Amino acid sequence: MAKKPVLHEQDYIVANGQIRLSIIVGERQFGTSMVFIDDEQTANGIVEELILGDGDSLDGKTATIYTLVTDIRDSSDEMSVTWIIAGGAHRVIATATGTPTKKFGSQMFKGVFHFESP
Amino acid sequence: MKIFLLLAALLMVPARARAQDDEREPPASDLRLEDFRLAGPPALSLLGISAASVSRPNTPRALIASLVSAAGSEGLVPNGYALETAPFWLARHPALQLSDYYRASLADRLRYFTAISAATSRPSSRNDSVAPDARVSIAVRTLLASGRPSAALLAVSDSMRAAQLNYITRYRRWESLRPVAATLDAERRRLSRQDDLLSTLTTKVLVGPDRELRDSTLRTLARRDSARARVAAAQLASDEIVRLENQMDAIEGRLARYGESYAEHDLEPDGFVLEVAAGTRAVFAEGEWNRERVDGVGAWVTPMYRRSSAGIEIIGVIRYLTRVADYDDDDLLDLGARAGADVGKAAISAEWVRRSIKGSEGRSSSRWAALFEYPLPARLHLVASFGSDFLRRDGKRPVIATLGVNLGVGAVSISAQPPRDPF
Repeated sequence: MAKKPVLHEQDYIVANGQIRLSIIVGERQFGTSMVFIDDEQTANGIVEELILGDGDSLDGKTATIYTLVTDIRDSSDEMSVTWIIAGGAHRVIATATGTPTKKFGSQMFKGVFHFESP
Repeated sequence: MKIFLLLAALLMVPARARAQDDEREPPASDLRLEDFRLAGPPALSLLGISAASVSRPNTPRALIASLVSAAGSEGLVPNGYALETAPFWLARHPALQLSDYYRASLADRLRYFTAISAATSRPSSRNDSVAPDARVSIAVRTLLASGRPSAALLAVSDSMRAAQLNYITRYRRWESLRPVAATLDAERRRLSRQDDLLSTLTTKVLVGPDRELRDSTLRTLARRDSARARVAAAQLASDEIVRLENQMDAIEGRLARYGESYAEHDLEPDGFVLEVAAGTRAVFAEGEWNRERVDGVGAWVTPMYRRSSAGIEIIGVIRYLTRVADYDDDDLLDLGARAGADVGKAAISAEWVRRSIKGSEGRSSSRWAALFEYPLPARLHLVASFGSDFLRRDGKRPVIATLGVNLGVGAVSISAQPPRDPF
């Protein structure tokens, strides 16, 4: 049965410059991401300093980021995902934590960022 | 074939053929490289014991609970307690990515791989004593070089990433279908109401033709068809959700197996690995915490090089121990090395072990052996070895020549005595 994701949702105020996204899968766990702007997939795999587009063009759009983390540690199953968005009015760093339901299990993390102009 | 192999194994294990005579004389020692390589916490090796269980707390709470439970009653040192913990991993590290972990600097490696261990024992040699002496050891070990991910680990990583992308693709589709599928029951009820209404209106139109009634019936007919289409769409979405959930369950199962495999391969990196460990041991008279004296120290250096794609592994071990009871409280320096390679299905290896006893050079000795192993059907292994054993007290140096079948329940010993740690 597909599980409920660990969800993080917030607005992000864009500016004139390019909006960049980085995703950190922490706790020494193994994760893969897929990034969508509205319904269009823009990247997948390891996301680091990904340019999402100019602030103007992103205004009113939503970035949805799915990150599936799989437990690969023997002694701990803690998981965390950090989304870093820069290039707008402020740099946003958001972290969510979770654990799988079983040893070596997987957990979906979902970050949703609504881009808005100031 | 299997019965023949089993009989052969029973007859041949341990099939021993010493080139020299004097079969009844036990070997001067029974050292193998594995005997003084660290297999568990160094604190246990310092005491020369193997604890039934080693506490490995990975949170501060678990560490405190373990220490409190082991504190002992009435101020006495507990018996048979063993703990090993890595301080770095007691805390959470949300910013620590796998890539950082594998590209660690020396300072980072010291943080990631340093583990502290402690062990206690109260030997039963003095059974007449109400409160026997207790021994406590504390040790630390770390990796100064940690190698690099093996080809097997990279292959598992690739498979995991592909499976995760596969899962996310299905997850997003599943997520988009859920709102439609969730309306199925409501749409069915709506369709049922439209069907009932249409049935009533049709009957009335047939009994007494009425223009307004007929128009109403046609509108209801259109609503009924629309409801039917929505039910069909919701049903399709619901069916696809079931299919996607089954697929995602299967991928999750595959990912769990990959995760377990990753953890296993992570323990066997390629390249150069250097482990160092050191510790000290103390005796507590009659087991009382306040009557302590230092009893000895130990140090281990274990360099290793592995190239899994070529099936090559080279291991060296240096161990220095002071005040070893079995050697009249003399100090020991053990040196050893083993090189092995896979040749087709067979594995060949050679090892050399040298034990030097400080203050008693006459008891110092060395041993070398070459080992051949070939897999047989039914998980059996043909094992053969050849070499030169330790110098005996009578000045003879026996040849080692062993041929046997490993039944898979344990390695075939190439000497008469079971491996024994000198502490």
